[in-house]
Amino acid sequence: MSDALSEKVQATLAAVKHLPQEKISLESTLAELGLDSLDTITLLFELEKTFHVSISDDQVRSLRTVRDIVEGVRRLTTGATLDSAVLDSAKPAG
Amino acid sequence: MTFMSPRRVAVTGMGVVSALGEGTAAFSKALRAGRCGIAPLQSVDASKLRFQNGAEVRGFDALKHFDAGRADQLDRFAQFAVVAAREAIRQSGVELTAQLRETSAIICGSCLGGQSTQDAGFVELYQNALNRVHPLTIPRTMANAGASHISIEFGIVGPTYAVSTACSSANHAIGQAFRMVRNGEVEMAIAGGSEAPFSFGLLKAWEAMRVVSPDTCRPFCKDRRGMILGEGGAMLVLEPFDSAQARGARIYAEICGFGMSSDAHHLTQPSAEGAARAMRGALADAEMAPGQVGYINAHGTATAGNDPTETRAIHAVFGEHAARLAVSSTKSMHGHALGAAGAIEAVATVLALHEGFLPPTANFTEADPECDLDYLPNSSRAIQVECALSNSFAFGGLNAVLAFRACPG
Repeated sequence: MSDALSEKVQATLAAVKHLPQEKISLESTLAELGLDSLDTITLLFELEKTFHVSISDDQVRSLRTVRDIVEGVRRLTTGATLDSAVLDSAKPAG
Repeated sequence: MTFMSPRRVAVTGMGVVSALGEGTAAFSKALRAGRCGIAPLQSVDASKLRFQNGAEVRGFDALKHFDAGRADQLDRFAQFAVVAAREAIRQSGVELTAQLRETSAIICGSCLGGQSTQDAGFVELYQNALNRVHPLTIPRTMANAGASHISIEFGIVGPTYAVSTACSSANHAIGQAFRMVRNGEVEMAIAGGSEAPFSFGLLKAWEAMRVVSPDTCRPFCKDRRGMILGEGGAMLVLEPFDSAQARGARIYAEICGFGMSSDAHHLTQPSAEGAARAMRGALADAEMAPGQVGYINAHGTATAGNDPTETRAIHAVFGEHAARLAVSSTKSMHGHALGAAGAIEAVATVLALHEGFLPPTANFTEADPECDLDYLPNSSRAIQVECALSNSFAFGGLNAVLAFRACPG
């Protein structure tokens, strides 16, 4: 499904990763698009700003594909929460 | 410069301020008890943060340590540096003669410098719409403020500088100082680090990194959720072993090796190979066999990335001996004090060697399957080990490892 929200998520991702938007599909995984830990936290930051939502660290965990992000943001904008599982391996280590 | 064969180097004094209290006696007692200094943040309003806990130095009163005029000149991070240096010098019993003051070095690590001062200035400019900041903003904020104040207070006029390599800052500082003493460039060094990261602006930056735990710090555990930030300062006094012995000084341990490496890989994703190279470097520098090491004070941040990577690096360096040595992350008790971390952990390591106990990893629940070493869960252990390493691995991929040998007595 492609709609305004999904277009906006893909545009945000394209801007963060400096990619042409047509290279991004809903089925693309973040790994395939070359997002590392710093790209990922930057993307989350931009999505929070664009959609006026707050994505908790725990909520980040299930995000694997662009579709996961789109659906996650959709749930947040309608007041529901994202599922949990981890992107932790891609998080900074400190 | 005079050329001479490398000298052995003794740790003759230590000072520490951390979430576990002020002074090495309180610190040692807390480490033995496995007491965790992590608690709800008091110095900043955490209601607008995703995490609410930190390892603050509760009840630290600058006016107990400095007169009001001097306190005005010092950001909290520099206060910690001076207070720790005072204890270390007092403990060493060294007499600061005119000659020694000329041939002593001071090297202090700090990742951030005077964050609280800078933050307060920005609040004045951007929030309160004032078109000015405090005139002491620059001297309070500069990362070398701690080193400079120690120099002024003790009249030490030899090489004095600051090192800033994020979370490895203090280990780089101590390692550099160790080599200056070993190589005969100076006759004494005061080295360590200090940090005071609890300003709202900086905590927001850490929040955005998504590496800070919303509850507590559980290094190497399956249910770990990230690091807990800490603050404090620690300093070591380093002297040539022979002259320390000759003046009858108490020698807490020998510092005998320093290894450094860069991952050249990623700003925030650690590399086991880089960490292993720094540990191997420290062992080689100390002419220490892996089998002599009984304890490693781990970097152990409790982030998803660090703990399994550090575990793999220890396996790579120590092979079968990895199963026999003990590893702990004392960050579980005093938090991650960033540029001070290596110094606080060096004090913990030296105390372990001097007093014959190994500090635990507190808050330990169940080990991550990828973390399969003996992490000293929750309880300290009364064991005298021969040698120990203290690891620091920084954002930016910069690794620094110190090696110590026990001098029981």
